[in-house]
Amino acid sequence: MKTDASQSSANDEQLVAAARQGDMGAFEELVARHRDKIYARAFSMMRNEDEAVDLSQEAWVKSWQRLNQFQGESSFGTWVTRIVINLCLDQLRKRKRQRTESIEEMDEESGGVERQMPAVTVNPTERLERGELRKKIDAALGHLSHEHRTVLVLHEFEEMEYKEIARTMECSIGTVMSRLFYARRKMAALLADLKTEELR
Amino acid sequence: MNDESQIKLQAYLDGELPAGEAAEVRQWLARDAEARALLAELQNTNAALAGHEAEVKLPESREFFWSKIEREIGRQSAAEAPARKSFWARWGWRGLVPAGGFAAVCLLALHLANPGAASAEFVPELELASDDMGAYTYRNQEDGLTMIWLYDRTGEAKSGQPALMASSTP
Amino acid sequence: MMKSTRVNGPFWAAVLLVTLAAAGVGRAQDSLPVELQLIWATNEPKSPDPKHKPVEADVAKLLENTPYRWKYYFEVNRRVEEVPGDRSLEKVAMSKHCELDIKFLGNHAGKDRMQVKLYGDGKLVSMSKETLPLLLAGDAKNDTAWFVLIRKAPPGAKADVAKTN
Repeated sequence: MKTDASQSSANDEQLVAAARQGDMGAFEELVARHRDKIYARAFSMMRNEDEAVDLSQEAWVKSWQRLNQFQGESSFGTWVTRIVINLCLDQLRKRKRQRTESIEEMDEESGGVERQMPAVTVNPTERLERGELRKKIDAALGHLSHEHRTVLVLHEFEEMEYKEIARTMECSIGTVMSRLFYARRKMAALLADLKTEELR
Repeated sequence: MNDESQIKLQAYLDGELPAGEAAEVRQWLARDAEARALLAELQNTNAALAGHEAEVKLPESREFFWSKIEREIGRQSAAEAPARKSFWARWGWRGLVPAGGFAAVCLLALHLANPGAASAEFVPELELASDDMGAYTYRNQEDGLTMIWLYDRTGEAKSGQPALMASSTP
Repeated sequence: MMKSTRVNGPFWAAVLLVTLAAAGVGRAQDSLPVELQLIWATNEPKSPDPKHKPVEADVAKLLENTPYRWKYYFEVNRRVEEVPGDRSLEKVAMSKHCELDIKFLGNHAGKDRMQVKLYGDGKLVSMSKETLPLLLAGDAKNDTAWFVLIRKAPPGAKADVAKTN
């Protein structure tokens, strides 16, 4: 599908308006502009490239179908991000129903040993170049369970409030707070290179 | 420090406490070194995460990724429309046989009355053997290619269709 | 006195058949040499089957112009068949899962027309009457796809097997 120069220079609002009239070229331009961001969000939650590609593709198809529901209260990119987040959560819930929760996971849910851990005093951003820090953060996120990673991603990267996270994840605010606390403490330990069972 | 206090400290950091409770936490921090250390850790973790999400790019080209989206949009749009079925399909395959004799005589009558009528414009036909199947037809004027894309209307694309390929390889 | 003769049903049936034959209905169409290719589309650079080879450039070009694209296309099977006009060429096996019944419907305004019945695992999937070149396609597992390309055989191509029905 070829898009013309006028679409490349149009802003998102104009493209959305055109797409609503059935202009697939305009929608394709929107996809091109925001595809990496949507994929990145899916990947941060699923930690699997193929799944992230599939879910972000599904998010785009849904956003086309629901274009008339987009009211402009948030940016278009944010709106599609919310769609992919919900798709990821649906997928994670489906997966959770299919497996038995391990004892480790139940312990993790309650906070486990991290609640009792003394505070980490090393600042993880010191001495690290930005690219290195990004890699470390990404690696550390991979060590979290889906629930803990999700709550951290939604709070820290999507800047959602507790109430909104609770609604999105279909759990109580207390559960959000508990999971977030655990996730942060675990991240602190991982980033500080503490030698624990989980790091090996 | 108990669990409830730790969670409250976090909520204070995130600006999720009502004003009165936030003031209480500030007083508590002023007298408790352990609480201050924990708050510092949470703040450091926040600062580390902020703006340092890994930059990942979608590992497919623009055209390729878009072609999949476009296809799925088209497929879902077609699935909402009633399935196209030819007149003959409603009769079923066997219904063609007894009807065929009568039709042949009609065609003959037309042909004899107007020899040119039987070679009227060719009308493509497509019949699907199952109500669960759907099809798109694309015609490329440039190379004259006609493509008929067959799909499972129930959405269970990989398992619902009769297998034309074994597993993922032919 | 003239003797009247009663004419019965079979007599009229015979007249009809002769008339039909004279009018040209049921007259055999010329046959057409046709090339059939089974193609597998995937995003993986190699096929698990070493016998599969990438499709030729002219086929790749045809596939590129379709709405759905994959990164790689492999030729799974290719055959040349002499397709008769007076009857179907039946059960042309493209793979152990895919068979075709094909019949030449003649040339219309410079375009060859074909009737194609597609079978998957012995079950009829579709019947189409179209001009050539014709591409039948659908999803396969793991985000791959299959294509059956039917086109007039290039000059000099010989039929693979003499088919008898």
